[in-house]
Amino acid sequence: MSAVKSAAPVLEVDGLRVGFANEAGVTQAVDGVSLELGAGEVLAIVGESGSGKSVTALSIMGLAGAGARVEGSVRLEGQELLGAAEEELREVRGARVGMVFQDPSSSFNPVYKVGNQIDEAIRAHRALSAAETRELTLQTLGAVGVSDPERLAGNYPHQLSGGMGQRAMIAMALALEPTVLIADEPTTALDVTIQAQVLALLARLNRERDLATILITHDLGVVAEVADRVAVMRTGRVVEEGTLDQVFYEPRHPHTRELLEALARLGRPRAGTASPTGEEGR
Amino acid sequence: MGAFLLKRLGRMLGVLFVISVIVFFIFNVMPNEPAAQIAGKSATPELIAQVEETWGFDDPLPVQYLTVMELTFTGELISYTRQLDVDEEIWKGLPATLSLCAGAAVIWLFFAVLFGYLSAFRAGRPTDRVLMLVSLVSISLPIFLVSALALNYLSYKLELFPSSGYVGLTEDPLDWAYHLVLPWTTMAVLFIGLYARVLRANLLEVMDEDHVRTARAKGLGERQVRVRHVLRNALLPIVTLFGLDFAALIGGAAIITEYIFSLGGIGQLTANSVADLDLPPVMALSMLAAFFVVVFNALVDIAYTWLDPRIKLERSR
Repeated sequence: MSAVKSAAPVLEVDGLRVGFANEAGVTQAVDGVSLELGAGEVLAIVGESGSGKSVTALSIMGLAGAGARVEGSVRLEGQELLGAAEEELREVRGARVGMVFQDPSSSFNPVYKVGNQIDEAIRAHRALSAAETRELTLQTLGAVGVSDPERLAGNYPHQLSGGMGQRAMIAMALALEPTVLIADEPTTALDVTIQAQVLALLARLNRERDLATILITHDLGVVAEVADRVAVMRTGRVVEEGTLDQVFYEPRHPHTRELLEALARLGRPRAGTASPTGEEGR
Repeated sequence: MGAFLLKRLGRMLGVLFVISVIVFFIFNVMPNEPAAQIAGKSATPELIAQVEETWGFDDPLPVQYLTVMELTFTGELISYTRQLDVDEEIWKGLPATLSLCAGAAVIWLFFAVLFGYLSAFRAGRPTDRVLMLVSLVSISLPIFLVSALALNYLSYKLELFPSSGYVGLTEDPLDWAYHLVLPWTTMAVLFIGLYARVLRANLLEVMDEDHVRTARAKGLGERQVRVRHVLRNALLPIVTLFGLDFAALIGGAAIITEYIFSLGGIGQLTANSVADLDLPPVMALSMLAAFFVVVFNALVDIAYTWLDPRIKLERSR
């Protein structure tokens, strides 16, 4: 995937700060993050847990929670989202920005059928008849590679495998053809083989639909598969940002190097450590 | 489903058997002279001996047990003290008890859901604190105190409601409700507080679940998120609670309210029979109560499979 950056970015995040008030004062989860995302671009936000990557994503949607103090600016196609009215945000969520979460088994409501939950997402934004809504649901499920959409739609979430669940989740996020997709650790809860399928799907959708994608992950292996650009986050700040090649081959920040070394270690014994079994560094 | 019902039926028979044996046993270890009761205060020893023979009190205990059980299931049970047909007495009391409990249940569920919902979505704010305090007070107030206060002020002083009696629903629906407003309300008070608090806790738990964030992320309105995704899931444990409480109430636990308002329900019948050490009605009423509990348990389990698709009947114990 080549980074084709259009003139005006689809999504601009400028000086985003998110704090959570608690007994000890305010915990600054995100501390001045600025990002730009062009149409058809895949931006990976990488960082360890607690680095503020998920809070960044949720804040873009205005979903950081009632206790969050959000400052800065988030512009979607020029429209300011921070401080926007709840109804305005509601119209953005799901329709213009779709979101996929980590664990499909807990991200669907367990008491409703999957198809009904996708229908619900469509109905929240479009005045379609029941039949038209279901038609769009099945069509979208087909588009994300579900072989029998009819059957899957009739299943309850607990009846789906992790891979199928995540495909359904992606279908729900994309049913209304949003311009931006935010995927928060979309492969973390999945088996390795399924991970690859879901990543391939995200890459294909990104290509076919010119979908601007933010991929949040702690896994640099995932990043290398699909990202055009990479932002490395640590303690609420972006410590390094650049194209995939820049970040992977010429990392400037020590933390990026640490993350890369952690990835490299997976395949071979840690350099400088005599390891008789060769199994160290797992 | 069929297998489930069969299993439950088997279990119900087991429960009823155990209950009946326990009740029978208790009655026979207590100092208790049913023959003298039947014969009356000024009975001669000869008369008592005669009664003992005709009623079978001189038979061995297992035979006596079987006689009582046979009479219970053929509906020919006669009470020792007043020689009344037990079945008839129960049928007379059941409508009052059912009316009392069903009406109270509607009131307590409505207000419990309303208070729990308002509290949970305003957690920590004044509305929540006031409602939770009110709930705590309502749980702590004994039902006889609430009833007494209601009777004193609303019935005797203001003469807004009748103080006692039950009017059949089929006789006069308006009068039926009019006579039951006070009993309904006083009985509901305790349960409103209890259920509101339980529901509030459930709501707060469900609110933090991942799928609620998903519901918001797909652009649902806040009310839809709260009702369809939070409240709907948080009501599940309430169903279990309600099944058990309601079964216990119609099985005789509504006794205090029935007594205070002289409704003549089966709780009152149970209390009178126990006071008279009258085995036949106590036996029948105990088994009826057990029957209600088992049946409502089964109903709750069936309702659960419909309310929560993750649960299957076959796996439920």
